[in-house]
Amino acid sequence: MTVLFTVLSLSILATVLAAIVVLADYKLNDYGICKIDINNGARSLEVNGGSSLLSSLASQKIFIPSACGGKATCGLCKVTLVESVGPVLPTEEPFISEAEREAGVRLSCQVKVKQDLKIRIPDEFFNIKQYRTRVSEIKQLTHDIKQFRFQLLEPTTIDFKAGQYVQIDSKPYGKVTEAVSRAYSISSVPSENNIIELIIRLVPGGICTTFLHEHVNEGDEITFAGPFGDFYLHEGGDELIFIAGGSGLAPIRSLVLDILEKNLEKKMKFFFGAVRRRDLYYLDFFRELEEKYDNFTYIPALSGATPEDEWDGEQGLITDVVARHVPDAERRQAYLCGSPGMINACVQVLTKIGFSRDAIFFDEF
Amino acid sequence: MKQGPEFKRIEDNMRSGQLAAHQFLGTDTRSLKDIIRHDQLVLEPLGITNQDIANRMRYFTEKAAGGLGLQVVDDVFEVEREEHKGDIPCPFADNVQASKSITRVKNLRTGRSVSWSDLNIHLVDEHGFFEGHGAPFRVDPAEFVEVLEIKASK
Ligand SMILES: Cc1cc2nc3c(=O)[nH]c(=O)nc-3n(C[C@H](O)[C@H](O)[C@H](O)COP(=O)(O)OP(=O)(O)OC[C@H]3O[C@@H](n4cnc5c(N)ncnc54)[C@H](O)[C@@H]3O)c2cc1C
Ligand SMILES: [Zn+2]
Repeated sequence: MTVLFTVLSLSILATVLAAIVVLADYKLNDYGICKIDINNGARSLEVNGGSSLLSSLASQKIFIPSACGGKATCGLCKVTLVESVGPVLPTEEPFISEAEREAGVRLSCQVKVKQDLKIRIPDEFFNIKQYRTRVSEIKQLTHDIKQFRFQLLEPTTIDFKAGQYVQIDSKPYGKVTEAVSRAYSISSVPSENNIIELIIRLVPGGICTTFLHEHVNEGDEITFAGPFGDFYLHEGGDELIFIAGGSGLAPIRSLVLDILEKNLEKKMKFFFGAVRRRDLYYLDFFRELEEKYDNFTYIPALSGATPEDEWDGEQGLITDVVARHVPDAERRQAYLCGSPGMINACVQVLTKIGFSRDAIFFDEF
Repeated sequence: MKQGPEFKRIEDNMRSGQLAAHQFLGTDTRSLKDIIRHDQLVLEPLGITNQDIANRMRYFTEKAAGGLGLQVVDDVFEVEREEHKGDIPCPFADNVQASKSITRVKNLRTGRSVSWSDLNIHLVDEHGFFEGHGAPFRVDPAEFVEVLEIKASK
């Protein structure tokens, strides 16, 4: 009885102490209501001070791109502080250039809201929403790539530009205790606005891709935020050179279909680079498009074909194949999507051909 | 080798599964310090340093880069690189990011293979950290020395 009583009173004491600590913390860090002015009055928010700018904005349904969920490891969540609230933190330094520092650019996950703030963000960010979806179809495209189709539940439609991406939220599974969000380019067309499709390559030991490939089934509910990114069709260019590898086919598919659907007067050449035959997918799909449309050419190429691949198409590094088929940069734009290695190599080759840097587009990461 | 006072926090970070699905410590119950020390004890008698291993890994990584698929290097090693988008932060919280791309090497003399991600090179080089037993990205020093035929640098 006494033992029980002691235990009880001890745990009550502990609870009271904990409450005092929480209260003290609350009092000490009570920044009250803070106002956030966005884009010179375009939006004005009131939030409880004390949280990061990133999460404060998210709590008011303004989503800034972020792939690491506020850990200052992706460098995506940049906003401009019109009035400085302190120096750039060491955690932000790797991501902020000298020019950005001068312009007041900060990582919103590293700025704590403690006072009224005036910030600037791209107008497109106002269009970013959090979506609840149901996985309506999963298709195996290659040995390590799956396609996911998501039916939008709430909101029921999405307004995006072909080439943009969304951020899928994973859920804890197995020994993975935390949810992460990762960027995936939309492969479906904007006109089909009640679904999105993503093409996802399994990364060995990857948190989000293992979740999607091995723990998600048709019928499951998944959330994402979007759309993000400026990898969409830009003005200028009579001929568009698309170059992709691996899962990089996704945004290119969306762009090509969107341009064909809108009957834009553009010529398109789509180079898809893979190592072996087994890494090619959507082969028949793009071959059929090529047959049907005079303004679309499809050039798949293998860099490591073996006799068993029975491949009679283009061979060699995708950069060499591009160099063979693109004579000059005259009235051309290039859109690239793939691994950083592929993108670097392509930028080099395109520059040699005569492309200026502002005629080459890709997602920075 | 950087071993700040934050070691405990770094260790928790690694065990949490929040950085990568396959943890850095695997099924290893030893402390981070012990794991690093034990691997060093394996290398010392061989006269090989963690930097020697990192340099050899870097050598093959560069040979495998370029997207040509399987390639044979120095007549003995079959190398291949799987490029992946995106970077992963170093768990030692030193603001270093490495690509998620993976390099595989097969020793044609012995038929044995090893693989690693770009992050492993940094972990071995800067932190002398080969990861715990049972971690899928563990760089087993003895195995790497054999498969990659690493010789003492002096
Ligand atoms: C704008 C943008 C668009 C994108 N679009 C697409 C797309 O359309 N399709 C697509 O598939 N991907 C896309 N990506 C990539 C995607 O966002 C993810 O980066 C990718 O899917 C991997 O996420 P993950 O969580 O599975 O892997 P993570 O868990 O983040 O990383 C796993 C990798 O990290 C390394 N690693 C993990 N643990 C260790 C360890 N202990 N030791 C050493 N190394 C380790 C290994 O290389 C491992 O393979 C896009 C990225 C960006 C930025
Ligand atoms: Zn490090």
